[in-house]
Amino acid sequence: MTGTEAKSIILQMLGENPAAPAYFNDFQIEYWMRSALNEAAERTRYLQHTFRLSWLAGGTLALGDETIQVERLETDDDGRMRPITTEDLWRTNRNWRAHTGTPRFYYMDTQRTTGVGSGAQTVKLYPGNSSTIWYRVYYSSYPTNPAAYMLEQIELPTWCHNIVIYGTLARAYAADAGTTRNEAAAAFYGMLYDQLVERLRVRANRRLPKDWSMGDPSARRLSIGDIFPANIPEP
Amino acid sequence: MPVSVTTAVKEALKIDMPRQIGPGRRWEEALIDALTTTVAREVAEYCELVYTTQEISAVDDTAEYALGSNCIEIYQVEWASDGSTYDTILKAVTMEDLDNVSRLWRDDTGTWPARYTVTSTPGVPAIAGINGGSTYSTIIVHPKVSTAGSATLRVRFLSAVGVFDQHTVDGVVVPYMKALLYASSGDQKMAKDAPRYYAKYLEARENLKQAVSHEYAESLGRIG
Repeated sequence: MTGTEAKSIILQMLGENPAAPAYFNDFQIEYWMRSALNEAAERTRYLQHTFRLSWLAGGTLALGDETIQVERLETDDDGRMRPITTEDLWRTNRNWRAHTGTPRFYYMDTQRTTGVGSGAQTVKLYPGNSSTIWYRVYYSSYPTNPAAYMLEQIELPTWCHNIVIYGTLARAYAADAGTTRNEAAAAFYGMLYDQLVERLRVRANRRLPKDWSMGDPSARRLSIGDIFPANIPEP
Repeated sequence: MPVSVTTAVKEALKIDMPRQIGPGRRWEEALIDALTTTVAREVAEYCELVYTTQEISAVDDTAEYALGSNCIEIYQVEWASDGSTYDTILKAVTMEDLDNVSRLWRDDTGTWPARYTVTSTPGVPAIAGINGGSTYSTIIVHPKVSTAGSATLRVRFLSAVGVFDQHTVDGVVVPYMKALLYASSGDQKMAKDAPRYYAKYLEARENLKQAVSHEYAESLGRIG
C-alpha cells in the first residue's frame, strides 16, 4: 500500500471525498500519517538504516534527523568499532583529542553547534583516523524517505500497514475540527494503534533469537567478572 | 475450503449493513476491499496462519539478500548448492556472534554459508534511504560464496498473506470490519456498537490462534 492509497482510505473513513475533502486538507492528513509512523518507529525501533561511505582523515559523521540511535559502526579494514564515552576517554588519555592512528572506538560528540540546521549530532572515531577509511553504520531510524513515501510503499511490513491508518484516524478525530471531532472514535482508533504498535515491537525484537544492539556503551568495560563462567557448578 | 476474503467479507457486510455499501453510499466497495486486505493481514500475523517459502538465487560474492514484504518472521533458512537439494540449514546468529567468528566476517568466503543474520524487521519494503543507504529488511549470510553457480537460498517464513475459510471470515474478519466501519459511521448508535464488535473479534481471534498453533507445530519452535 502506498502513502497515497492509505490517505484515500483514511479520508473515506472520515466521511470525506478523497478527491475533494471538505474538512481536512492533504497537508493535515500527511502530517498525521508521518507522525503516526514516526511514533511507531521510535517506540519499536523496527527500522535499521544502513549505509557505507568513506570517512575522511580526522572527519566526523554527522547524523541526520532520521537517527534514533547508532547501533553499530564498522570499518572495512578493522571490522566492528566499540562504542565508548568521552568520560572514559578522558580517564584513559588526557590528550585523547589529538591522538590519531587506527580507530578502535567510536563516540558521540557531546559538543554541538547551535543554530537552526547546524546542530547535527556527530559521531567521531578514537583514535582519530589519519587517512581516509571506508565505514558502514547501522542505526535505528525514523522512516528515511518522507518526501517520497506518499508515492511509494509505506515503510512498514505489509501486515501492519494499519498502523498508519489507525494512528492518523486517532489524530484526525481528536483534532479540534468542528463537527468531525469525535473523542470516542479517537480513543478507539488510538487503542487499535497502540495494540498494533505493540505487535510490531514484538516482531521487531524477536527477528533474531538474540539482541544485537549495543546497549549502554558505558557498561561495556572489561571487568574481572568477564573471565568467570556465568554459572559455577557445585563440586 | 479457502475463500476470497475480500469477496466473502463484502457479501457478509452487505447482508448485515443493508443499503450502506456500494456506489454513492456511505462505504465504497473499493474501500471495503482495501480495508479487508489490511485487516486480514493483521489476523494472519496474530494467529500465525500460514508459513511459506521464498527462494533466492545466490549471487557470486554476495552476502546480503532482500526479504519479501510479506515476511513476518523467519522460521528457517536453507541452502541448496545445486539449487534444489536443500541439505544445509543456516544457523540464526547476531552480528556480534559474527564478530566473534571472524573480525572481518564480511570478507570471508566459503563453499556454502553456515549462518545468517537479519537487518531491519522482516517485511520492511525496499525503499532507497539517505546516503545511498536503505532500511529494508535483508538477510546476511556468512560466509558468502565466491562462485554461486545455481545455488539457492530458501527462506521459510510466517507470511502476511493468510488463507481464510468461510468460518474464519464470518467469525473473525467480519466483526473486526464492522467495528471499524461502525466507529467511523458518523452515527452515534452505530458507533456505540463498535467496541462490542471489537470484543467479539478479540475472542474469536484468540480461539483461532489456539486452534492454529496446535495445527502448525513449527510455529512453536524457534532456532538459536
